[in-house]
Amino acid sequence: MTDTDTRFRRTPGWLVVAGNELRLIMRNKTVAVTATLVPLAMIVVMSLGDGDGSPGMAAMHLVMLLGFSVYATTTMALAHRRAAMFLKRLRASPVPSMGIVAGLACGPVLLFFAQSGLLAAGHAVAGDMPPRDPAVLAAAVVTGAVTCAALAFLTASFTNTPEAAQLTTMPGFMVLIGGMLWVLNTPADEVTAVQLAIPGGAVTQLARAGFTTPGEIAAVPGVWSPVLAAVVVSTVCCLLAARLFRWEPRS
Amino acid sequence: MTTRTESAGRDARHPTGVVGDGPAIEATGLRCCYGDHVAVDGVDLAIAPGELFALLGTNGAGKTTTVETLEGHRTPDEGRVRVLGRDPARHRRALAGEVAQVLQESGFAGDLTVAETLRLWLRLHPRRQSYSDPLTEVDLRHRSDVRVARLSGGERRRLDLALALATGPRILFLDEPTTGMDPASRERTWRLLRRLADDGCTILLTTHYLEEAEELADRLAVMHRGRIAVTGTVAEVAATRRARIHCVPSSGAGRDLPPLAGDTTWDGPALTVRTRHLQADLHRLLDWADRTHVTLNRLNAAEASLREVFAAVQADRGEIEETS
Repeated sequence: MTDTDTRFRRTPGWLVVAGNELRLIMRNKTVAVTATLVPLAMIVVMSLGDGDGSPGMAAMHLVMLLGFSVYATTTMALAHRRAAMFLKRLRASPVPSMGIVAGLACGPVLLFFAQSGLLAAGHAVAGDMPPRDPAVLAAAVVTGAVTCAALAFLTASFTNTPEAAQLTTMPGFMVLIGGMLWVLNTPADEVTAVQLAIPGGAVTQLARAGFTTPGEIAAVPGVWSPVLAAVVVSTVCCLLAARLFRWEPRS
Repeated sequence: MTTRTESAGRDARHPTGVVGDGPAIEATGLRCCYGDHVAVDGVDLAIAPGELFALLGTNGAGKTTTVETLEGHRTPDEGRVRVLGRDPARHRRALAGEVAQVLQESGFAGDLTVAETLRLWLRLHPRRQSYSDPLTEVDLRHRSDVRVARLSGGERRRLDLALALATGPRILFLDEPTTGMDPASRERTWRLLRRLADDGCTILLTTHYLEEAEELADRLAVMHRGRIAVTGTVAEVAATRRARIHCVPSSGAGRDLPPLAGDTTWDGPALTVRTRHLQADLHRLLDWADRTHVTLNRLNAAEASLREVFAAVQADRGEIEETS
């Protein structure tokens, strides 16, 4: 292929950025290992401890993956690309600002989808209870990814360097895990809107719903409530980040 | 190589920076602040289509802030900027490709190869892939498969330029484009920029290299402390300072010089004349030396250079204001 090959002439800009980001993640061994093997290894260790294959355990695994593979990796990627002035260069292209952010988040999100598939296969091989409603579980995966990407966009707004991301993502991690634990410790039909509005809460509720029988789902206050909560939280994160986000390092 | 005569021709084409339908790049009363620090303080610029304009200045003079505002990376705190008649901050996407930028810092992904970087850039500009082989233009074809992280500083600047060329821009912003380049690469880049300007591309160049501005620019401006201290063609800018005659008259010569239009100063046996009438004063001095049998040793007479103007601006001397 030549440099001026136009086979991808019609490819949307955000998708070009996403493909490039995925390539960069896989090409950087440190990032690739952090984003793929570390969370999977942690899940294996957790499962060896007291893994019971319950819906709660599946939700925990999902939130762990989201925290490492989407939230932390996207925050670091945004901070790193900004420090290298790569974001500034992308801003000189015709790709819209949100398209650039979406593209940069897409790499980690695609990795997360692949990991989720691996996770599901692992649960199946271990003989754990299969999900009753895969569509709801898929909704948990998608809404969780969107929420964590939006949260990463917001966190990157006040993350000056890639190194600082290790510190600035800690509150977000705590919120994700706190939201998950709060929902897991509440009966499914008693989860409130406030609990769902906490990142980690909605995805946990959806994951749990994906493993319950249709009769049990009726007892949950609707599958759409957590989806709606996740959309609202993601939108708020994006709106805040759009005001706070910087495209180049602080001078 | 473009001769000074050719440059003078280009000067004549753009005496004010406004030709035909108006300036391609325009700033009016531009003011930019970082907190309490005023980086750019009331800059006015008008650059005509096809003009190559150089922005010179001391460190921290406000060049990069000015250019970044014109590129749309910053919004002005006061004043108005227009590029191809549009506000570059509000119409970033519409101008992308038509306007290309070589940033002061490259902004590459180090893990991509040179060819991958160019391919990414072209895919991000699907409607503006007009330049046939930008890597060959900047002599980087042989480095296509090398990761950007392994390029030298000069090679990165050349890759920067290749990306800018790749979209066939009408406007080109170059922030210190030849920094880190070896002399051969710099010369090649100069030839390329000259050709682009001749083809009608409007170029705004910031540089620390005065000879670069002298060699390339139709017009230039020297910035100091956020303001434009002096602007015009190279000849006009040089004319803001007086010409200089320097010599060491042979021993025995008195100090009863003929009447000269310029000011004379003695530093021991050395005589310096600062004048706006170089030819006339030089003639009088030579005539006086002939008549009195004085030898003018180490005689040197020259119009002021851009370097002298720059030094004067840097030192905040009053001579610039004296004549502008």
